[in-house]
Amino acid sequence: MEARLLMRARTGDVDAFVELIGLHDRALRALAYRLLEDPQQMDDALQEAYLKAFRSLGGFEGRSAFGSWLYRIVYNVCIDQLRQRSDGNRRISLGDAGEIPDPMPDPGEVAAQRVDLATALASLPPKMRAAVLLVDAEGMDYQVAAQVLGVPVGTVRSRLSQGRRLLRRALSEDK
Amino acid sequence: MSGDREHPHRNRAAGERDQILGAALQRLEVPAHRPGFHAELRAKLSAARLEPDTGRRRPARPGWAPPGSGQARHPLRWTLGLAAAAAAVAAAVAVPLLVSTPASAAAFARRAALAARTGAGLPPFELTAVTTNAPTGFQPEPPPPRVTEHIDYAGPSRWRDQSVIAEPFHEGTHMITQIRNGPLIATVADGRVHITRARGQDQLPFAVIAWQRAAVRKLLAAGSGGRCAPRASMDGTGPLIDGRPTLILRVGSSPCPSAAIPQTDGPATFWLDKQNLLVLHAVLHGPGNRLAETIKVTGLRYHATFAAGTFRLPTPRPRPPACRAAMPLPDLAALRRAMAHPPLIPASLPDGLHVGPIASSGGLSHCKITAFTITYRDSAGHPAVQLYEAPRASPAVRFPGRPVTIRPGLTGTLNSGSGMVILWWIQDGRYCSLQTGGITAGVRLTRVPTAALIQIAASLHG
Repeated sequence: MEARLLMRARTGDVDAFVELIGLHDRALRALAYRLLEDPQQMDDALQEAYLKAFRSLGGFEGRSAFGSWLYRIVYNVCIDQLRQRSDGNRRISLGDAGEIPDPMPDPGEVAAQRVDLATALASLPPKMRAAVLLVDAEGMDYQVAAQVLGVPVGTVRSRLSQGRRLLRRALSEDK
Repeated sequence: MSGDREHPHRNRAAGERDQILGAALQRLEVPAHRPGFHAELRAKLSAARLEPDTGRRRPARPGWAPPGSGQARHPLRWTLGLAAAAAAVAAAVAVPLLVSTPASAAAFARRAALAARTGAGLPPFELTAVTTNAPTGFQPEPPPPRVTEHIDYAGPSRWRDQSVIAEPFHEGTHMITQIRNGPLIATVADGRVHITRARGQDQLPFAVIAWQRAAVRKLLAAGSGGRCAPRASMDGTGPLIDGRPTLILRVGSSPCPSAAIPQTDGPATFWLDKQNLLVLHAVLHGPGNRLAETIKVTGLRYHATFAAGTFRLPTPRPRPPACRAAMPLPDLAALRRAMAHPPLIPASLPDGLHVGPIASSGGLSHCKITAFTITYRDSAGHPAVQLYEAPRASPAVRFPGRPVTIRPGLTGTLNSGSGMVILWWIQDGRYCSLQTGGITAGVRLTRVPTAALIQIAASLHG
C-alpha cells in the first residue's frame, strides 16, 4: 500500500501524499512533540517537514524505508527549530523530579506518573531524547536510528545508554 | 520499522527494564493536530505543487520538467498556477472561518475545558490571573470580589497556586496556597496545612480553585452538546494577550440556569491561547446579562523553570486532640474561658435588655470556640436581640444594606425588611452581627429600635 501511495505521491498527487504521511503521522507527532514540547510548534514543524518531503520526493531514492527518510526530515526540522528557539534550554531540572511515594496508585496517579515520565524525558538533551524515543518508544534498531539521526551507530548507543540512565534516575528506579 | 534490537553487553534484567521503559514511553500521550491542520497542509502542498520550479532549491519532481531540460513553461500554466496558489492560500486563510460552525466551536470549548481541567496540551508555565467577581443574584456565600493568583505549573501532578483573596464587603484580604505534588494536594490557609489526596488528573488549579470553576463549567456546558448546552461560536482571531495570539469563543446564555453558579447563566466570551486553548481572558455574565466575572491572565510565561522545592509540600502540623463540640456556657465568664480569642462583649445595654442564653456557634480552634451567639431578652423576658460573632472569614450571609456609622471609624451595614433588622460589621478581625425581629436559629425575636442595635454595637469591646 505504501509503495502504491508513494508512486502516486511522486506524481504530485497531494491526496496520496497526505494518505502516505498518515501512515507515519502518529509516530512523527510523538517525535516532534517530545522534542519541541509544544503542540503548536509540533504542528508547524510537521507541516514544514511534510512540505519538504513532498518537494523532495523526487530525491528519495528508496535506499532506506520511506518512514525512516520521513523521520530524518522531521528530526532535522525539529532540531533546526530548537536551535532557533531562544529559550530552548529552559527545562525542569531532574532535581525537581522528587516525588512523594504513594503505595496506592489510582488511575489518575498512573496518568500523573506518565506526566512525570514526560517531564523526565523533556529534561534530556534533545538529541539524547530523540535516541531514546526512536529506539525505546518506536522500536527502531540502532542502524536505522543512526540513519535518522545522522550519526554513527556508536553515538546512538552512547546517547541511548546515557538517556536511559538519566531517565531511570529521574524516575527513581535505580535508587 | 522494528528490526533486530542490539543488546550487547547487557543482561536480561537491563533488557527487561528497557522494555518497560519503552512501553511507558509508548503510552505517553501525544496531542492531536490542531483543527484545520490537514486543510492547511493540503493548501501548502497544492501551492508547492504549483510553484514555479527554480531548479535550485530542490530535486526535480516527477510530473514536472526537470530543471535545465529546456522545456519552457507556458504562460497560461503560470497564470493557472498562480490562481490555484492564490486559491490554496485563500483556503488556508479560510480555515479559521470553518470553526465558526456551532459544532466546531463546541469542540473548541471541549478542548479548552480539557486543557483547564487536565492540562492537556499545556507546557510548563507560570502566570498571574486576576479574577474579578460581581455578586449576581442570591448567593448564600458571595464570591470574593477579587482574587489574584500566581500559578506555577510544571504538569498536572506538580503545580502551585498562590491566591490573594479580597473578601467581599471590605473585609480585608487573606492568602491561600495550594500545592500539588504527585498524588497529594496541600492547602495552606490561615497558617494551617491540610493534605488531601488528589482525585485523579482532574485537579488543576483552574478546576480546583473555586473562583474559576464558573469559567470551566461554562466551557464544559458549551462543549457538552446536550439539552442544556448553550450556543457557541468562534469569532475569528482575537487580539494579542500578553503577547499571545488568541481565538475568541463566544458562548450564549444557558438554557438551564443554575442557582448555585449564576455566573454561568448569561453569555460569556473567552479569549483562548491560539496555541493550546488556555483561557487568557474571560468575561462571564449572570442572569439578566449582568457582568458576573472576569478573568484576565497577565505575566504568562511558557516553558518556565521552577526553583527546586517549588512544589515541596509543607509539613502538616500534628492533628489537635478531639474536642467536645458542645460545652455549657452559663455566663459571660464561661464564654470568655471557652473562646479562642477574647470575645467582643457589649459594655452597656439599652434599658430593659439583659443577657439571655449564650451558645457556641460552631468553629473550634484547639478546642476553643471561635463563634458564638448571645441572645438578649427584653424586660418581659422575650428574646429581642441576638449578637453573633465569628472569625472574619466566616461564611455567614453578608446581607446587603445601607452603611451606618456605628462610631467614628467603624461602619456597619444595616439591612431591614421582612420584619427584622440586621446590622453587621467587621471589628478587630471578627465578623459581628446584631439582629432584632424575625427568627434566627429557631428563636423568634421581638423588635427593638434600630438605635438600640447601634448603641449595642458601639459599646462592643474585647
